[in-house]
Amino acid sequence: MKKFQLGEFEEVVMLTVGVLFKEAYGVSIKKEIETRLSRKVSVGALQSALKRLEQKGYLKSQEGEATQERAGRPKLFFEITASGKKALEHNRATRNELWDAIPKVALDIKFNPF
Amino acid sequence: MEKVNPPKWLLRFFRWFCASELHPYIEGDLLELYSERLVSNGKRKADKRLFVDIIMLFRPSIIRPFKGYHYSNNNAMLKNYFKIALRTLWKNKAYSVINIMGLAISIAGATLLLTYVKSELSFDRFHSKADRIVRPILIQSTAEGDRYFSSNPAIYVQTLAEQMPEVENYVNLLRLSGQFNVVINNKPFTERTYAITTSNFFSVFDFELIQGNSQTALAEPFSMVLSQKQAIKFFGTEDVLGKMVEAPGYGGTFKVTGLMRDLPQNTHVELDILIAERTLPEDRARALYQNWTDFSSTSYIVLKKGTDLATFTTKADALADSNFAKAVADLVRFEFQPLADIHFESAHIERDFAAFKGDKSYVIVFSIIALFLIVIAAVNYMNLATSKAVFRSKEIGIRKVVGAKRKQLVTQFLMESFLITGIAMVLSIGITDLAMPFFNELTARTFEFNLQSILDYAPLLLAIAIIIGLLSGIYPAVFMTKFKPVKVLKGEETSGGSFNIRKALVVFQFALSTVMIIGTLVVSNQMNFIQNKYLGFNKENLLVIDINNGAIRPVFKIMRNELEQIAGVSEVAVASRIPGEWKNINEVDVNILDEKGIKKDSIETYYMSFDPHMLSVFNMELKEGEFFSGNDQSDSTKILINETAVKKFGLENPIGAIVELEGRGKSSYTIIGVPKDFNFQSLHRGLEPMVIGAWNNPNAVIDYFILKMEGDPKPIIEAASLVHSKFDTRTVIEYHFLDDQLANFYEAERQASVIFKIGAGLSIFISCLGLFGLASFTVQKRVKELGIRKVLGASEWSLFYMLSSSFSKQILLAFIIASPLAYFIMKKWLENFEYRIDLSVGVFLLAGFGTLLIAILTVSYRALKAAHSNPVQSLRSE
Repeated sequence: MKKFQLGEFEEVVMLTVGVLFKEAYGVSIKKEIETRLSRKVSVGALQSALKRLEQKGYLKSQEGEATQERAGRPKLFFEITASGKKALEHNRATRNELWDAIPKVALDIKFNPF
Repeated sequence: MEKVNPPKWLLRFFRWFCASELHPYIEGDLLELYSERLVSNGKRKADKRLFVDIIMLFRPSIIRPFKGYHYSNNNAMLKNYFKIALRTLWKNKAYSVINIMGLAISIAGATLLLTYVKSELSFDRFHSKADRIVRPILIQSTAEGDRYFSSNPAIYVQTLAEQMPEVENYVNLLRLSGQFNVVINNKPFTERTYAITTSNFFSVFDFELIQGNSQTALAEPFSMVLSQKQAIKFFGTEDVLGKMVEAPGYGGTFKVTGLMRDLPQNTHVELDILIAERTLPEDRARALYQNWTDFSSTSYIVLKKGTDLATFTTKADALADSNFAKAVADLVRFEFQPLADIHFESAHIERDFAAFKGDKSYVIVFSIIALFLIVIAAVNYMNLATSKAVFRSKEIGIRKVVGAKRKQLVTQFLMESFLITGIAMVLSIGITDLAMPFFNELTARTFEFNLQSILDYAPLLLAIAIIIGLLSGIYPAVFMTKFKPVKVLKGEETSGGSFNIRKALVVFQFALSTVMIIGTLVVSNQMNFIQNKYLGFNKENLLVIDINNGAIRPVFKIMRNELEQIAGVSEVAVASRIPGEWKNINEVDVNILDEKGIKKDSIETYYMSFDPHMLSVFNMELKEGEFFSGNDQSDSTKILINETAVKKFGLENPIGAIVELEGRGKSSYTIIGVPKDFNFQSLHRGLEPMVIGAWNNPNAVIDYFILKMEGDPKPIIEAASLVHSKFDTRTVIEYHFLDDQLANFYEAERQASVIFKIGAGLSIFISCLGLFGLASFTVQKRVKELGIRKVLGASEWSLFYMLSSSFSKQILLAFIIASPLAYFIMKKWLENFEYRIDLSVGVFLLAGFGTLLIAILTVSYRALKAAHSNPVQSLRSE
């Protein structure tokens, strides 16, 4: 199912956009990921992921208000599209399938080299 | 909240590469993050993070697409150029290493030198009112010309502030004596970097008070502000507000009311302790602000915006004249020196607060050396790239045949040069980092080069790299792309006229190196000469102990005797000032009397007080007459004058002559002896007249014990400290070795000579790298010719001669060009010294032959190998 492919970071970004609902724009997404997942996100990585996701049609964007600390630059708010939602669901479903398919023993095995 | 003011160039750079439809949103995000970080982490961090963020945004999905119909093609071609450039580098490893090493070393050298230059040029310019701050300079007319002092009566500046609307603010700095003695927890400290001043200090200058209130910190008597450094020294902590500092000399205990950030090193004053002016005793303070004859204050005045300095000076000088007594007003006038000029233009100013005085000529010399290094490395690249072109001519031919435009080829070669300089630049960062501690030691500065400061260096490094990239890339690019494809592909040689340019460049390169080598030799000869010149007295094994406490003076004879008892001390002398003196030397007016005892001439002369032991401790010689006898009573009316003074005073029979000394009081003295001339000042200055009085002469008080030592100084110092602490409980012993102190006179020259040496070493090294590369190419090109010559019977020696003679000729030519240039420059430099070496032919020959030898050795490796090789090897394959 090539058409629903999502990278790990892309998935995180999409989910965060979902979490933030109407408030998802560059800085808020970056901060949300950083606090929830405690990992560093560079502006560059985030912006290119957002652009990629928009090109795939999983996100759509809309220009928002401009504030003073942004020196009059507008915010770009993101929202998950219908196909984005499908992709996320698909991702989750395939993961679950894989989880379910793991035999119980495989997870209980203790690491023992020889 | 601080003003949000991110570096403009970063944002401009971002706008340049960012896709236009994304730009406003991302920039908004960046600015939002920036202003948050500004508040939480400060500007420096915020700038750094912004820089990192923008670099991380430099990725394909964000970069704007290349426009125009060339779109895909151009992009692909650029990638291809890059790939080819990398392959070329990899294929010609020796060539790449030579170029990259040479460039990296020169960039690192230039970065270090320019760091120094930048810091010198930034002195005192960081204050927000820097362009409006001036200090009054007192000019006194004397028979020998004008003398300059950075001092004025405090009341003068106060009156200026009251009467002239141009004055916005002012501050006075004052020192009552050279040292400030304090006791903290029963431990004595002697400090020199202090000043008595007012709270205005913080409104005139931008120096920052970390703790305490800058308005009131110095308002109360006995309040004191410490620098961070000083706080640590006194208390071991920066948490010093409210701590007490005992100062017996001021008759009270100071309370620390402020902690200021350490003054940056590019400030002309060195201050760690500020004392409230109101601490001064009533009479002293009154004298300051009522007395027009008290010239003890150094003042800094802030002028209102738009004030014309010349008009202000005229008015202020007139105001001074109307307040001074007539006799004073005729002799003195005032000038106002802008703050930014203080660092470079104060060498002639006496009694100066300025701790570091800069020398513009060194700034110029260092910039020139930096430029030389860059040019030499760039020349290497040009030479190697053009001579390599022969081997790449087929590639260029094919490219042209399949339709490459000249512009595209130029782009390709420029890309190669930028790739090489880029790699060299990265490498140079590492080299700079390694060399920085060493450089700091040389220049006695503390420059930082680490991840924190690398952002400050980024523009400098980038500028250097771009200049080198363009400078060295453009010529080979233009040269190589001129090839006619048909000729090249047919296999015809294409070197032609360029060969002469290459030779000229080698000559130019070695001329620069030779100039630097000659310079180095002259400088180090002069330094040796100065260090070994006999000054007219013995300077070895002398330990000088300062008298920093008036309590010692009445009992100095007892202390002198005790010092003399120390094992290893052969004799102890006492003096007010000593030959080789590093502090101000007192002056007196010597009145020459005619036969009737009437004053006929008055001459300002240096004055020192000696005790009877000085003659043997310093090993000075008497030309005629005798020295002090040791009888205090009769010695006190006698003086000696040196040979220069005898001439200056016009005395035919000095012994027994009577002159009048006018200094602290006025009385007559009999001249009893004439010591041979000795250099009591730095050798930058010539011999000057001097009067020597007995230790109890009222014109100066004794200030030093001088110990003549034998053997290891360490136990002697320990023993002397014990003696010192017995007689002086208030200060710590302060001692100097006279020879070290004398060497300090030439510290600037010593530093310059080391930098010269390194610069010359690097430039000859880089030049030889280039020469080595050129020799390799020459041999490679002529390998068949050499084989045939050898088969036909040429000897190895004649082949070697053939290969190395053309290089030798170039180097000789370089020497001929360099010599007069070096002669002119070094002659100018030597004029700084009153005592100097002659510029001998030997130095020039040494430099010339040295360069030639190094160059021949460099070339000979390749030449010998070629001459030695078996012709079968080179002729076997076609």
